[in-house]
Amino acid sequence: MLSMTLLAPALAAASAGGLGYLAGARRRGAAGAAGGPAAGEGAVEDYLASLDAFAATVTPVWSAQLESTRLQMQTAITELVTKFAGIVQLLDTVLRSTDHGVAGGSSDVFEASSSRLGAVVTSLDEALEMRRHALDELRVLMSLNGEMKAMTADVTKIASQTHLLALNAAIEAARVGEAGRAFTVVATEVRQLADLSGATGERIGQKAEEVSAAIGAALSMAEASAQHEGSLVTDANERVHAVLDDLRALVEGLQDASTELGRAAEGIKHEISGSLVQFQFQDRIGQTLEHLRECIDAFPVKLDEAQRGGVPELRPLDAAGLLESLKSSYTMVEEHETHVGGGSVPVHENEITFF
Amino acid sequence: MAKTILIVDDSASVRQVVGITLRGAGYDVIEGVDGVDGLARLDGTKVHLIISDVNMPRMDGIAFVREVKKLPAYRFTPIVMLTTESEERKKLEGQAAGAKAWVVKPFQPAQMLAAVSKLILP
Repeated sequence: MLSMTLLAPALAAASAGGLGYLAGARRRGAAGAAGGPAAGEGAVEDYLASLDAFAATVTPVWSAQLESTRLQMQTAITELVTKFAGIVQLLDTVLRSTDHGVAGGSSDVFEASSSRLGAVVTSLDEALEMRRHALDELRVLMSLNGEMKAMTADVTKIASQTHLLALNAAIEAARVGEAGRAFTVVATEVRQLADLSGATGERIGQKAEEVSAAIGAALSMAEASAQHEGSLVTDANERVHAVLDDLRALVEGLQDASTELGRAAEGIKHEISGSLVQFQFQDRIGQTLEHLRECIDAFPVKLDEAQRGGVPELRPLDAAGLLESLKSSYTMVEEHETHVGGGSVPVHENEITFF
Repeated sequence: MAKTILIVDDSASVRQVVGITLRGAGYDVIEGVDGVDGLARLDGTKVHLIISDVNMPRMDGIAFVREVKKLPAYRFTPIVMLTTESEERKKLEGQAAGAKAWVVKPFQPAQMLAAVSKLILP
């Protein structure tokens, strides 16, 4: 028979816990004390058995669900953070390449290309200048040949006058008679020499004309060639400058694009890095869930402690002890505040203490 | 040459977040998953600063700091505790063990870098 004295601890626990089932048991126990004992005692034993079953079956499920959730969150967040960390590293690579590769490299390529093409144009200009110099030499030669022709004409003229002079001398010698015979011979020889000189002068003049014609032809060809080459060099120069202008525009475009890319990469990296900081919530929530799981796991132990002596030695469930144990496991200010306040509280700003 | 920082934390995500913050500032980072693993990383490698969690399996952060202080090569290496713990009693334990600073999570990168910059060995 279960007396009211024996039931007192269980009733106290029921009152503290607000358990309707046990309150009913108390009523049945009171009725049993007045009219029949077996009904009340049986009800309490049934209730205790149900509590055991509850602790043995429900709390492990709660605990397992919490642990499973915590691990799933931990795995997912870790993978997420790892992927974001990979993105940040890739962005760092992009930033390095935009800093040193595209911007600096393309500028170097442009400078090298400009220098090489400039050297080609300079070589062409030098070749054209040499050709112009050769033309000038040809013109000098032409001028000298003109002087030679004039000199040849002079020689021919002198030969003609000498011939005339020798003829007069021969006439005068013939008039003198025998005394002028020897002089006639000299005059004849002089006239022959003058004829020879005149003929040679004419031949030289002919050759000078031929040379002049040859130089003139060569000069015409060289001038035409020089003009053509000058046009080619001018054209090449313009094309090279056009290519360099295009290349410069391309390089500047690349540099602008690179700068924009770098700016965007820096912005994305900053955003991701800032977002990653928020992932610290996983560590905090994980710890809170672990503390709750430990408390749930402790519940069957507390229950066992309360009813270890059976119905005659029932003790109140140690809610205060369980709560104190839970409280002692807290590491965060927010856990303490939630414990006391019962609602959600904002996460406190971080603090740094230097020792 | 970049300075090296050892991060000891059982949370991979926290190690990643701290690592990104520090690498972004030009530091080299090595990692340990708990106190025992953290000690194993101190194998002669020059470490200019250590950042350690407090609550970890196998060896917690306070015990880890005590063990580090027993190693002649790392006796003067500054240690920053990075933890969710904010109780004064725990902080005093960390200070007594030899930690130089106590940072409560969640940390802000700028403040973490300022603390690192202030304490790191030359």
